Amino acid sequence: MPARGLAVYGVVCLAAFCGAAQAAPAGTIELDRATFVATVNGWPQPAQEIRLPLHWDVIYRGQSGTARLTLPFPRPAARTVDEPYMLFIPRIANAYSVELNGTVLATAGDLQVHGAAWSAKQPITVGFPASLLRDQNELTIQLRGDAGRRAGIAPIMVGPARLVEPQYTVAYAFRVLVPWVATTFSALVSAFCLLLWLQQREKLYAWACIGEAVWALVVLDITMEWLPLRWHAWGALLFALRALWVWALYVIIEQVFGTRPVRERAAVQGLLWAAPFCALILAMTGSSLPARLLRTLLSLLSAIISLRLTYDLRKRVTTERVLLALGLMALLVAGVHDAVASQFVTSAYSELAWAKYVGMLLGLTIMWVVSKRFRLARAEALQLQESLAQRVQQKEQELRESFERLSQLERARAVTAERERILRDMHDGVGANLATAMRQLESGAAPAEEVAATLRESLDHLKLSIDAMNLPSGDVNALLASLRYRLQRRISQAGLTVDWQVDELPHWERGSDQAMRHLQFLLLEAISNALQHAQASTLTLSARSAGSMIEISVRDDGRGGCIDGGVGLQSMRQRAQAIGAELSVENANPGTRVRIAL
Amino acid sequence: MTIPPWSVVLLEDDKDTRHFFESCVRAHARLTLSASFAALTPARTWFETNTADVLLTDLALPDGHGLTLIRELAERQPACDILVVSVFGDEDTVIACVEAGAVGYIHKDSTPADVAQVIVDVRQGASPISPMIARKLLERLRRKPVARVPAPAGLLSPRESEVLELIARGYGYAEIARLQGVTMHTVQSHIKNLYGKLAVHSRSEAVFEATRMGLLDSMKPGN
Repeated sequence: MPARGLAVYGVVCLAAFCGAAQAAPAGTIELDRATFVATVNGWPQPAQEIRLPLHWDVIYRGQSGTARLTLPFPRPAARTVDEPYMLFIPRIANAYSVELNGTVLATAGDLQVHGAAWSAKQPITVGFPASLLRDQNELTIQLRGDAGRRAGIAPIMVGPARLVEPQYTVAYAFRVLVPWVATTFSALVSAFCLLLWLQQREKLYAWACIGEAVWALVVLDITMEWLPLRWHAWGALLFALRALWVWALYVIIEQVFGTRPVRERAAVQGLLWAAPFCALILAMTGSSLPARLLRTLLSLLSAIISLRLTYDLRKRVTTERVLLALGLMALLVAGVHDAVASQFVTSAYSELAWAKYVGMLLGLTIMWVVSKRFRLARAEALQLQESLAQRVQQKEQELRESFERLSQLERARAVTAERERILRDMHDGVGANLATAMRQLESGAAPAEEVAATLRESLDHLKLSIDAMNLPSGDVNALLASLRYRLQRRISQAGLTVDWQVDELPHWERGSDQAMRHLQFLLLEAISNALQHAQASTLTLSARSAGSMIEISVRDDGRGGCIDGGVGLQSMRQRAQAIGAELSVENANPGTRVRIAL
Repeated sequence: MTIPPWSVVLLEDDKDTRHFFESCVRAHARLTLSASFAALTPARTWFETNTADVLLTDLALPDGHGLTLIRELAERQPACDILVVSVFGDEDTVIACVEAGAVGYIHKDSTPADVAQVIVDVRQGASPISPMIARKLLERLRRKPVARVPAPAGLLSPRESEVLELIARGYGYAEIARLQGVTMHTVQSHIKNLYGKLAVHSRSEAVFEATRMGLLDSMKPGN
């Protein structure tokens, strides 16, 4: 990958130098000697003979004015007289008028208003008929030059259009099309970074986006003749934007090379904070001195930073580090070259600024860095997602297993509880009855009816146990009904009539299987007591709901007085306590009333 | 004019129990014992050529299940009332028998008078029921109907439904009759009607199930 990057650098540099080299073809004349009369700050200057290119900023540093150039030339040697002729001026600024033998051929911009928004920047051609030419000709060009705005004029080419036009085409390509390509490229890189940033809010993507957007505008300015603002304001804005671009670049450097030393960072920040003030001074007063000073300081600082970065490379060499360091070096060289060429060297007037090419290389590097980061981040995210999915799956599996274990335990517990319940029922009910029946038979003293009664009771117990298994939890109505159904015969045989007053009852919330069983035994005990001891004639069983309570009462009209103690009553109390019911046994006069409140 | 006694057939494998029921039937003036069997096969053979008014049958028999005979008889001799002999009278067993065509059950531990009374009651249009069975029936009849089979809830008249609810709450026939201002006989006949409807319904449900599974197609002529 580094090899490919370097190859791209080489090709672009070669193209830049080829474009700069051009020589006048045969049949055309290059005009580069002129009589030059300038008016600077309103003061006319003495006439002088000069050689083009004219570089206003080199001659009249920091001053504005107008100039009149007179260029004499003979009739070009041409094969045909009729063919159209053409003037080609590769560079002319900031406003101009072109006159041939007293005929005005072209004007652009206002020759009087300094700092006007319009500015000549692109190469121009001026066509004219051959008939306008004489043996001795005079080309007169008037210029307006604004201080620091790269005013001047490059050597002029005159000749038949067919010979001159190709020269113009080449110059147009390099001066206009190439910057447009560079602008488009930077704008695309910027958009690319913006899209990445929208997906991942990474500092690198944001600053790469801002930096490339600013660079696109700065490069576009090279070809812009119609400015949206007056020149000072526009220049100040561009200057501030360049400062922003420097900061974006610095952030990218930090992302690639790691955090920079505190003092270096402070220096860069300090200089950049000064940039808006310099821009303000430029916009308000037109003085570019602070801006130029700042630019010089920044260049120095950039040189130092570039050297340090190159030195840092020895610690760890990666493609992105090498590319970025090389790009910065190239940018530094181009920046120094452009600054010197635009302000100090007359002959460099028609030369192209290098920075835009280097800027493109830097854009490529940034795109490389950004896309590599994005790839890495995406791979990381994918890996994370995968491991997360695995962990979720694992946890799910564990949960399922533990749930399985729990429900197995729960089933085992339920089976054990049920077994215990059945054993207890058998022990208290059928078992006890059978034992009694056995003793009655063995003693031989008990009459057959008594044994039969005991055995019947035992069978009733068994039937109640089976009913209890099928009773729906909390259905007290069903419980009472089954109890009556199973005991009806015993009650009738005891000579009692039943007064049944059972309402539709609400669901008993605490009526678990266990609780239902307790309630069943409790009632069985109450009814059995009434049958055995009361000598009554009517057994009244009533059940009604009162608010959230269910009230059940078992009442006989017998002799009463069986409130005191006894094993039966004690076990009833225990059962009532177990199901959280209120139990009261009282004299009803006549008889006894057992009340259960659920 | 004397009404001829009702003929009763017994199917019970336990010797003592069989003798007990035999004596119960013989002791009652309105009943006569036509036949008594200890196994399923001879009973089925007997019913191929004979008929009776009441069949008293046990379920677990040495050579098969009593339900087989109940189904056969319900189909071929609808005039014969079938009573099942059960120890516990638990609702699942009883309802399964009712659906097969039985009209009630007799507890094994009933007194001789009770046994005869239940048989006579059944002949006079009553059917024994317990609150647990009533509750189960209500539950079943109120269940959502199976598609295309007539809803069983429709089988239940409001009066029948009321009777079932009171029985489920523990009220006796006499009390219900008093509460509803009808005779006890009316209340009792509601139950027998209901049992009959349930048997018919369960048969139509079985037909529906068979149709759904394509069993009946193979029985059509031409197949």
